[in-house]
Amino acid sequence: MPSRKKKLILAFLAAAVIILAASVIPFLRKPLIDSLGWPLDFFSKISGHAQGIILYRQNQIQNQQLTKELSLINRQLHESEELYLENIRLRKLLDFKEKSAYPLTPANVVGYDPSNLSSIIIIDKGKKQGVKPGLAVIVNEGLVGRIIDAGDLTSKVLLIDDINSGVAAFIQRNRQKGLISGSLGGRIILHYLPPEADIEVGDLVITSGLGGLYPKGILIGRVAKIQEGGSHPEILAVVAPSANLTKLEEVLVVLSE
Amino acid sequence: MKILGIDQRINLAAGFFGSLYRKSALGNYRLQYRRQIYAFLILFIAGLTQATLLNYFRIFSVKPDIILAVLIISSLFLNLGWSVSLAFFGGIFCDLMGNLPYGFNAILFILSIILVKRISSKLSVENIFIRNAVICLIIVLNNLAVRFILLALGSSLAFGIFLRFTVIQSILTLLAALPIYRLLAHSFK
Repeated sequence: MPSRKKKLILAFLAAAVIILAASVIPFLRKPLIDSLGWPLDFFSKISGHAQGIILYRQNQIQNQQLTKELSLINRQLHESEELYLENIRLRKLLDFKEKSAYPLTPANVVGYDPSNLSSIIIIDKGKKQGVKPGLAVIVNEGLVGRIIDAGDLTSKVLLIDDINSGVAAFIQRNRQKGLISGSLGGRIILHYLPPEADIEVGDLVITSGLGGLYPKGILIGRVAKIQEGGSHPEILAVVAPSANLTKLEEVLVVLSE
Repeated sequence: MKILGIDQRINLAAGFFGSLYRKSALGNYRLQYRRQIYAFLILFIAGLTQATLLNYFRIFSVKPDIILAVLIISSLFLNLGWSVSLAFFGGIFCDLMGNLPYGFNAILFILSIILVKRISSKLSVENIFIRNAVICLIIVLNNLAVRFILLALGSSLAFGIFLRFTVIQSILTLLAALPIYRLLAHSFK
């Protein structure tokens, strides 16, 4: 037998004995496995790529199916989120309705005035549901406006930030009276405050009930800024409405005048 | 009053809808008044969009007046009679949803369209700059008229706020008028 071939056989037998011994002897097993780690990792990556090439068409079909399922699940998730948010809003309204001293009926906002120079919403309740002109409209955050026109199934609500709107109000802290009027764009201003009026930023403004247009004690907003009146000796308070007048979806109509 | 029977009602409906079609030179039937029907449909959709969807796209609390944009651009393609009818219905829609005296917007839109027709007879509104200038002019005049009516009714709106609303509304309406013009030009071919 040639010596080179003999040497190869001897080397092979020696390696076999070492590996056998290492797999039997526990404290040698771990280094053996660790030493096999990097070639195994390398080959597994190659086999992964090979599998991808071999099973490309199958993966493509599965990908499309999973993408469709994912988009369906996403859509259902969005619908569920919307239902969840609606649930929270309606629960808040229901809770407010139960605690409120006034008889209330909920209504959905179905449209807004197309014009930019007026602030009106359309709700889906009318005379058939007991709604009539003059009734106040609120949300649980505060005052929204009042009904100015009622059909059988829909009504128009004049929001408090409309320039034709006027709400008799006072500062909750010291009962200083004034008149809230709208200035479009979600701005409302408390007028007819004397120059010496005790008013501070952050004061709560609520309805006074004077004039009989709005029930007494409904929150209108909070004083955001105080400024001097133009030509008249008065101060004006810019009030931030507590209700978000640009994002109304459900409102409550106060059924008693 | 004579009550029509079912057959008579069907004949009446067939007569009405049939009158909308006319026989062309090739022997097939074509819908006449196509432009007018499209204009009314687009106006209706624009009105609903402005009353609902556009409220979520306000900039500085102002939304574009796409009803007026549709009316002005439609009047460039239709004759005076149809343009005035369109303006009347657009104005009635705004009056129903708004707080101004009923009929005010209808009259205002009719006068605006008559003005647009007068201008378009003197100037070429195919030019985009002239067309945009006409739209801006009509919006400013409309807002001025509304402000005067509000003053006459005893409501006051600060001039600064009025100016801000008018300027921003003009810009937004001009931006909306470009796709509206393309849509109407394509529909009226």
